[in-house]
Amino acid sequence: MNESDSIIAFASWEERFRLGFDQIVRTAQPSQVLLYYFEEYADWTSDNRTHALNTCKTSASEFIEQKLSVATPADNWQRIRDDLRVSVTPGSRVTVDLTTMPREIIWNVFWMLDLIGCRIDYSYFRPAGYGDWLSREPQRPRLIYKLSGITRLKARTALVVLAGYDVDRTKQLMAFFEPEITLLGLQSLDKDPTNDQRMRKQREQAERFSQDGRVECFSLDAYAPDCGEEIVGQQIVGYLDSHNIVMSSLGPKPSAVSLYRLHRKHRATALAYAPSKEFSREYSRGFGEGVFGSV
Amino acid sequence: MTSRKNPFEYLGANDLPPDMILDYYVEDFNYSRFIQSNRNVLLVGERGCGKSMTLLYNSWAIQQRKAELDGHAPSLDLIGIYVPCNTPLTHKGEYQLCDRFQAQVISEHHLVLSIAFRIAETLARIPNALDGADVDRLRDKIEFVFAKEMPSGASLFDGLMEFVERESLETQRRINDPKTAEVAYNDTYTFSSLVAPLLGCARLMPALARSHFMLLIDDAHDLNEHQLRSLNSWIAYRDHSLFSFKVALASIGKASLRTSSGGSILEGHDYTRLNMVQPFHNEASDFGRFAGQMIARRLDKCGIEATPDTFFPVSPQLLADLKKSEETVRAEAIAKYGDDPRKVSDHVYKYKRAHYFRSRSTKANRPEYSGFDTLVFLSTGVIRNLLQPCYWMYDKMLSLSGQAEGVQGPIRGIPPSIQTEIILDRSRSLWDWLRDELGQSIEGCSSEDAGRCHQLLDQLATHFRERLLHHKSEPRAVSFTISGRTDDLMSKLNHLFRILREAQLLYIRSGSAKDKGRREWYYIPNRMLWPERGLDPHGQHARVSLSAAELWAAASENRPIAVRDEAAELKGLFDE
Repeated sequence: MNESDSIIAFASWEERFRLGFDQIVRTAQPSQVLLYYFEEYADWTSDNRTHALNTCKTSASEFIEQKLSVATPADNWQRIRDDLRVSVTPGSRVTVDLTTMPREIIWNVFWMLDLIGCRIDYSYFRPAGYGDWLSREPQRPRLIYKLSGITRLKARTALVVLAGYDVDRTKQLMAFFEPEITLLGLQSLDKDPTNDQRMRKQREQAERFSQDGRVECFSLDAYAPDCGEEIVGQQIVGYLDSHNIVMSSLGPKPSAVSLYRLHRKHRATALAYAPSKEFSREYSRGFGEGVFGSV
Repeated sequence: MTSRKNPFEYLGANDLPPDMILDYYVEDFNYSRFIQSNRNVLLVGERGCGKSMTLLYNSWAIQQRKAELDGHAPSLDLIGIYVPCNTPLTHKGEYQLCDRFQAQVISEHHLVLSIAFRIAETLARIPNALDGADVDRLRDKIEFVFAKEMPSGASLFDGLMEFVERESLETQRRINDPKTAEVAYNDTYTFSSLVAPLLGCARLMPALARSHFMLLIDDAHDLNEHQLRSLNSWIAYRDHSLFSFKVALASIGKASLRTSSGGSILEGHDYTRLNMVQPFHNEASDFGRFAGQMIARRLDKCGIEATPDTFFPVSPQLLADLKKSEETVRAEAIAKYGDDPRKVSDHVYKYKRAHYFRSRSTKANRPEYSGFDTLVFLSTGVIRNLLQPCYWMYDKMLSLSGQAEGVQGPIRGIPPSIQTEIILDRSRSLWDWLRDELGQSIEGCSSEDAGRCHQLLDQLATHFRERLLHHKSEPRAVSFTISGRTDDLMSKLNHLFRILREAQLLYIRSGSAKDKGRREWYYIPNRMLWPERGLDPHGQHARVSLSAAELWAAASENRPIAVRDEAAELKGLFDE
């Protein structure tokens, strides 16, 4: 992991946020840390945010904390735009900690940093394990601002979903976008011992979905050095000219990096987010290995 | 020749090839002929009730193919222009980063370009549309409308399509420009500046001088608030001679009826409403006849020589048991009412099936569920709910025919045992989904809401079963009205009903009340829930009056809903 001028992170109540944050501040030695959090989870994240503040004091990094809201994505985008315009300079190196950052925020931050002209690195820390359930109360899926692609008026939709552990979020995306074809990416080679069973459930559900439209499954490894970009790229290349492609990452966070990179290469593709209103207090446990790279 | 292709495909209409739409579509008993008019029409109904199918059937492309197969020239009186709204273009949210005026302008611009593209695409398909037309004059007029030159070299309509798409792509590129955080686009079009004049240009073609253009807007509930208001404003136009709108919506409650100027469109005055999900009370109702025609057509297209009733036969044992119950109940009725044939017949209707369920041994397995009319009742008036279990049954038969030696050839029918097996399996799956997955599947449904929904339906099932087994009056009622409404209780209940409707576990209809002939809302849980609970999905054309308080108690505290005696129930029928 490189030294950085700034770190942008998103506070969570999970142990891996706190331990990962310490590690990246220690390694990157930033002059500035920008920490976002959702006001709806302010109580849950309070201890970890205080810890982050103290970590920054110890490392003499300027600490800026900013509140966002689950309910106002447009305000969040404008908040991030305004913050980064002030805090980040062109050409600087910024590390974005993806560990507990919602994918919509990840993509908003990447986009802004690209606009400003920064060098973007990322870090991600896995947990030791996951809870029985991760999220509930799905909200309406939405396309990401400024990353919503270029829609051709006559083309049908091809939906790319990099599956996670919540089967219903995959179904929800399919029900919402009603694609002609869904390309379902299943995480392989994962250290989480429950991964294979969960991906099997995704595949079984996919076979049931296929009565409502075509579903094709493929395997990828989001923890590969390219975050699975090449494999996903191979899947979509045959549909770039014929379909409007909408892509969503529900699996390991590094897959959000690969989809962002693919969007940058193929600006007509759209990125979509499937929000949830409620997250589990026991979302994850423990602290696992870190993954680092550049966007 | 008989095909083993599943005749009960229930893919969305947009995924069906044109010939299959023509094969499967039934024009009768479903108000579809209302579409073929100058009226503005709102088609309202949940997923799977046939809205898209109806619009697509009435589009020019399908009507042209129909005329071709029928061996005559297609009529140009009514030209249907199909405009799908469930596209990534509709779902773009960048307008939310602008001020309200810019948001309205950009939103209308996107929608108007989509409509213009579909107009051009449709005109391009009409053979000889340009016969006798002054093409140069048309080109000049179109360029005047767009205030830009059309691409040279291309035919008029191909050039128009290319031009409109280029405008749309350019708008999106500017708005999504990665080099600026600004979201703005100034060269926008409106309905008045683009679509209306474009249709006016079409009328300059002699072949289309008297054509009426039907703008078939599908999935309008996907439009954003600004687009919906714009659409409503266009619906409010006084002159329907040139164009009209046929708009498909999941429900009217979701979509505002407000216009851009703050007024509202009015049913009857501005539009006709077609409720695509129809009440189904018996085989002779419109939906019953529609379902019968639809299944018969599908069987025929697959070369299966069977009627719906013979393909889905009732179990002989069930028929025999029902016959015995009918004889017993008839004897009771004659003893009670003497020679009054109407009272005897009413009594048999009410109690024949209830007697069957009541006289079954407590140690018996679940009742049998078979017969085409049972499937139609289970659908609760939604076409996709009818096709799904049929699909699974046929699929099971295909699997079995591959396994058993000597059992080959076409599927000639679904044995009652298979029908019962699939129906019970589907019913069980529905309860499992309700209990375990509702909260993760429906937008805006918290885990508490999901729990309450499950408790409500569970207590309703228990209540209906108690009625079926013991109640003297209306034993087979499986729908309810709500009495004792208060704002607070109805606000809580309506929140749950919204979730259940979206999950297609509950349907809400308007019907005539017993009290002073007024109209009232009544609530019908999805009848596929009942087989798992041993209930009769045939139900009865009667509604139980339940108070809002007891419904909320059932939902929030899992409290049983009491079955009142007959006298109390009669009193309840007149409660407000």
